[in-house]
Amino acid sequence: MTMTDAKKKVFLVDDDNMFLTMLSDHLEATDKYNISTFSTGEACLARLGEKPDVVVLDYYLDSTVPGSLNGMEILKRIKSADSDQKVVMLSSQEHYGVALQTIAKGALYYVIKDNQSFGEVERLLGEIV
Amino acid sequence: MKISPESLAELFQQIDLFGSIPFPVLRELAVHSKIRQAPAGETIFHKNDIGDALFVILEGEVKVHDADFVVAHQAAGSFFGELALIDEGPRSMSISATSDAVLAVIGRAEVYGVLKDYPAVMQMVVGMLTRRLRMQTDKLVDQLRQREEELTRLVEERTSEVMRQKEEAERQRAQAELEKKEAQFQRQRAEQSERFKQQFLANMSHELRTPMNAVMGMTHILLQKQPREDQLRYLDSVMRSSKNLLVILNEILDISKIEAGKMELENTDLHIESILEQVVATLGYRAEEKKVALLVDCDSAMPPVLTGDPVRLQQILLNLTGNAIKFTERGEVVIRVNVLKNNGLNCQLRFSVHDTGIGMTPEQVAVVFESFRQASSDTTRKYGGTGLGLSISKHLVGLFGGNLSVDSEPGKGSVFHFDITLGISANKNIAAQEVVSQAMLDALAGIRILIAEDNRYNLIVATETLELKIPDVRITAAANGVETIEKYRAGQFDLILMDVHMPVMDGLEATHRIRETDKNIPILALTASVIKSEVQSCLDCGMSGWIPKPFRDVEFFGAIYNALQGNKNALPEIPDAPSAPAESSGDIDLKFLEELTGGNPARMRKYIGLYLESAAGLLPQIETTLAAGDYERLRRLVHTIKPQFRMVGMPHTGDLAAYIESGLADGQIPPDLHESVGRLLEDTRRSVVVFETYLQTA
Repeated sequence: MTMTDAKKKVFLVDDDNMFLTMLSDHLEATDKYNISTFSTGEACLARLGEKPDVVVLDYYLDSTVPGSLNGMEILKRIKSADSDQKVVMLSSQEHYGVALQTIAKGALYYVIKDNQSFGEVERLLGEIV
Repeated sequence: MKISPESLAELFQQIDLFGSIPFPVLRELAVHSKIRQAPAGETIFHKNDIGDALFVILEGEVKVHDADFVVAHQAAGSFFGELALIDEGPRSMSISATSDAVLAVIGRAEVYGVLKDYPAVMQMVVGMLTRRLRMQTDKLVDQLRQREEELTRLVEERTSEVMRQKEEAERQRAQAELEKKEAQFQRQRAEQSERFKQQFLANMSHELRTPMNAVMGMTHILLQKQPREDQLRYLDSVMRSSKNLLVILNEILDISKIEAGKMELENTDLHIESILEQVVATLGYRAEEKKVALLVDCDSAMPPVLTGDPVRLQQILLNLTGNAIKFTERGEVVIRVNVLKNNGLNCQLRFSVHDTGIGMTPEQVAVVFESFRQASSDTTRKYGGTGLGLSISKHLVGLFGGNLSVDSEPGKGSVFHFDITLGISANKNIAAQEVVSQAMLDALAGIRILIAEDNRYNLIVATETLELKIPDVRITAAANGVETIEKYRAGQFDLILMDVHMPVMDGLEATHRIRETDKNIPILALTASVIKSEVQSCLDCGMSGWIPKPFRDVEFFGAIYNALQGNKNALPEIPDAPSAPAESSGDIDLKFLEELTGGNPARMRKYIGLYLESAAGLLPQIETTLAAGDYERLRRLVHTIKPQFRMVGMPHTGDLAAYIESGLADGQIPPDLHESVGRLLEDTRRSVVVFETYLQTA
C-alpha cells in the first residue's frame, strides 16, 4: 500500500493507441508512476475527481471516436474545473501558434510527439511532481 | 413353331420377289430357311449391322426406322433385308418388331447355294433386286433429303429465334451499359463540378474578403483624418456600402458552405443574455430609425451558462430580428426566449421573434425559406437583401437540431420560432481564459506602440485590433526598417511590433540597430512563417518574443501583455517546417524500437502488432479520402499515423507524412499531393510486409 501511495498518479489521454501504450509502458518501467490511460478526453474528465498529479493530454482526440472533444477543449474544461491541475500538452502539431494557444490556456509544457517524446515526458514529469 | 418346307414355299410364292421362281426352287430355299421369333419391341437388326440374310415376315409387323424416325411399316407377307443379297454394306436402317413377329430367315450363302444351279432364276432375282435397290435408294434419298430440309428449317428457325433473343439481350445490355456509363459520367461531372465549386468558393472567400477588408480598413483610417463635410458623406457611404457588401458576401459563402455540408457548429460555453444584448446593440439603431420598439423577453429560469455555438445562434437571431424590423413599419419587434424543459443536463428552449409587420399569405409562407426567394419578387427591390438570410437561418437551426417555422397573417405580422436543446455548462461564468481578459486589456491602457509593417493591410488589421481593444492606445506606423529607427528615435514608445520582412531594411537589422542603444524596450516579431529557424533568428538578434500571423486576439494581446510584463514566450523546441523528402526511403530502422524496449522481444512484438493494426485501419481510409477529395479528413488521418512511423523506425516516411500534412494546412491542395500520398501508402504497405515477416520469424 505504501509503495502504491508513494507513486504519483498520472493520467495519459491519447486517441493513438500505439503512442498511448508505448508512453504508458515507458513510464511504468520507471516504477515511479501510477498510470491511467484514456482514449478520449471525456473519459479522463469523468475521473478527474481522483486528483491526478499530472494529466498528459493529446491535442487531437477525435480520430477513434468521432465527435469527441479535442484536447484544447478538454484542457479548458480541466482548467475550469481545477485551475491548479497540472497539464502537459502533447501533439504532433508542429506549429508555434498551436503551442502558444495551449500554453495561453494553462498547459505547463507542450511536447512534440516523436521518438524523443517518451524521454521528454519522463523528464518533465520528474520536474513537475 | 414348326412349319413344313412345302407350306413355307407356298408362303414364299405369295411374295413378289419370289413370284416368278419355280416352286421346287422355292421349296429348296424353304428347306434352307430358319424360323425366328421376334417379340414385340425386339430389334431384329440394327442400323450399321452388316446384313447377310433375307427376312420374310410370316406373322406380325415390323417397322423400318432410324432411331425414332420411322420410314415404313411392314406386315406379314412382305420381306426385308433383300439388299443383303447383292450388297454386303452396313444396313441403312434398323428393323424392329412392332408386334410379336415370326420371320423366315434365309442366309445369303444359302440363297446363292440354291440359285447357283438355276442361272436364269439367279439372273432374274439379281436384276429385280438391283432395280429395287435403285428404287429404294431413290426413295430413301428423297426421304432423307426431305428430312434434312425439315431439320435444316427447324434448326434455322431455332437459330434465328436464339439469335434474335441474344441480339435483344445484347442490345439491352449495351443500352444498360451506356446508361450506366452516362450516369457515372454525369455523377463524376457533378462531383467534380461540386468540388470545383467548393474550391472556387474557398478561394473566392479569401479573394473577396481581403480587398473588402482593405476597403473598409482604409475608409476607417480616412474617417479619422478629419475629412471635410462632403468627404465625410462620401466616406460614410463607402463604409455603409462595404458593410452591406460584406454581409451579402458572407451570406453567399455561408449558404455554399451549408450546401456543401461543410458547416459545423462549435460547442462551447454561451450566455443567452449576452447574445440577446448583442443582437439589440447591433439592430437597436435600425429599429430606432424606424420608430419600431425592439424588446427582449428572456425567461427568468434561464440557466446562466449553456453550451453550443454562440456565433451561429446570434447569427440566426440577428437575421430573424433584422427581417422583423425590415418588414415592420410601426409597432414592435419582440425577441422572446422561453425555457421549455430543464433536466439539469440539457435545456430545451423556444426562441421566437414577433413582429407587427406586413405579414405573409400562406403562399408566401410556403416558399419563404427557399434560397434566393423572398416573400414576393418585388420585396427584394423594396427591402433589399440577398434572400438567403432565412434559408441560412433555417439550415443553422437544423444544425442545432431544431426546425425554424413561421406563423403569419397578412397585415397582422409574423412570428418566427424554433425549439432547440442546448447543454447546460458546469461553469457558472464564461471562462475567463476563453477571451482576452478585460483586466489584461485595461492594464495595457494608454501604451504607445510603434508598428513596423510594410503590408498596408496587415498594418490596418493590427491597428484596428489594437485600437478596438486597448483603451487610449497610441499607435505610430513605419513601413520599413529605416523609417522604424527614425520614428523610434523621434518618439517615446513602450513597445515595438516588428515585421521581419520589410523593404529597405528588414526587421532583424532594425532590431539589431535599436538594441545597440536600447536593451530594454520590448520588440515583438510579427511573423507569418512560424518555423523554428526564423523565430530563432528573431530571438538571436534581440527580439523579446513573437506574434504569429494571422493575428488571433488571445495570441496578440497575450504576447503584448507578456512582453510588457517582461515574460518571454515559453515554448518548446519545434522542428523546422518539413520539406518534401527527396527520396522516399521506406527503410525501416528497428534500432529505436530496440532501444525503447531494451531489446525485449515481447514488447517489440506488441508495438509492431499495434502499428500493424493501426496501419490496417488507416490505409484504406487514406485511400478513400484521397479518392473522394476529402482533404481535411485526409490531413487528419496522415496526422494520426505520422508519429507511428517515427516510433517504428521509419523516419523518412514520418517526414513524408509531415510534408503532406503541412501541404494540406488551411485547406490548400498541393499539386504533388497524389504523388506524395502514393509514396506514403507504398512505404506503409512495404512496412506491413516487412513487419509481418518479422513477427513470423523473430
